[in-house]
Amino acid sequence: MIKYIFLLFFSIFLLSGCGDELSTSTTDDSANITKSLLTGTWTAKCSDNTTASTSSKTVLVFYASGDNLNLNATTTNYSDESCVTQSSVFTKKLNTLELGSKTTTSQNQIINKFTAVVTDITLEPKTTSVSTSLNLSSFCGLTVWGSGTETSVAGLTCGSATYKSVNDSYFDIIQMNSEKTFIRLGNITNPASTGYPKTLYTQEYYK
Amino acid sequence: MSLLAKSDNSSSEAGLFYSTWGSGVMGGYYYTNEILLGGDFASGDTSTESEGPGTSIKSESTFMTVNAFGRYYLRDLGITDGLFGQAGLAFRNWTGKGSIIDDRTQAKIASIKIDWSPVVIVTGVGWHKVWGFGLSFSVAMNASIGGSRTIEYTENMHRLSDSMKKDLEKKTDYPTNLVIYVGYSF
Repeated sequence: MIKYIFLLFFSIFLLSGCGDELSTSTTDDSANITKSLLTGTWTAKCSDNTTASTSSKTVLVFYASGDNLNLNATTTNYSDESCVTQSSVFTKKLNTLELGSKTTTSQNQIINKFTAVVTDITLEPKTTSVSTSLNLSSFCGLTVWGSGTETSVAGLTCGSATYKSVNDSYFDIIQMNSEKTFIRLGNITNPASTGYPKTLYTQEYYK
Repeated sequence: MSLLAKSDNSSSEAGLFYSTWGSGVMGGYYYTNEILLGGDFASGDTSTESEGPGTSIKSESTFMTVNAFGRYYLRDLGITDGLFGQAGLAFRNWTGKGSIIDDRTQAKIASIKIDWSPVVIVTGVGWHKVWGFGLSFSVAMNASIGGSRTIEYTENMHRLSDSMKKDLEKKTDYPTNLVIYVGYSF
């Protein structure tokens, strides 16, 4: 009888499935984005559009002006797939950039929100054929396009895009990898009701 | 005819085994007809690599276990003569780590590190048979008691969701150990 109890004792031990007591900890090792970390030039890789046989490359220049941090985001469009022959340059100029606290997107990506003020948004055709085409289509409602001439499109509707006006508030999100070698910005075509983008672009900018 | 260890006057045995906690060697000495004092050494490792949306998830764990146990045979149950219960101490050197890597940039998105406590009590039940020509076979189910496990999550670019953590915690829990042993009794 004792032996049956002995067997039962061990069986109950097994069925109890005690296992190991679990303790967990979580460390936030994401980058703490600061203005000084951002200051400098961040460049994206050439992005080709094989369907249209074009390409583009964006350069972000964060620079200090007094106590303020400003940003010039310049996207150069090319008429080939390898970022060689420039066709136009689109520039977004922001100032008084203010970084918010660390938070997450709905996809759990660790990001910082930031706000800025629009100084200007410009488009510059780089060839005569591009400026002629823009004039013929009255792009942004303008017929003053000239090759090598920067023209403001702030507050205008150009194709399917409507740009913010000068002095408008600008809302975006930014992510930096923990090695601090690249940043990503928000997909501003997909804003939440708060005005901030809900998701990040997959494109990286390297310093 | 009894086919148990003592039926042919064997006093010791040794062999190889495969288990959930790794494969290894096991040896034992029959202190009495009912009691076997044994020990074993097992080692094993697991590594996994999977793809998520734009990410690669890699993990690896290594297990080394030394176990000392006493086993009691229920010789006269009537149904079979090879049922046993056992209890002992296991000394573990178990570690695990994993990381989630962004495919585009190779940047680390998040990582984990798992440590298990070095000593646990191990109890179990099983069935053991020894043939007349010395071949020995057993199958046992053991469970660990009194151990602990520490998981450190590091978030680099993503917050790990509670469901992801729960899933991982479940996958790295090894409370039971199925042991299949083949050896020689001498």
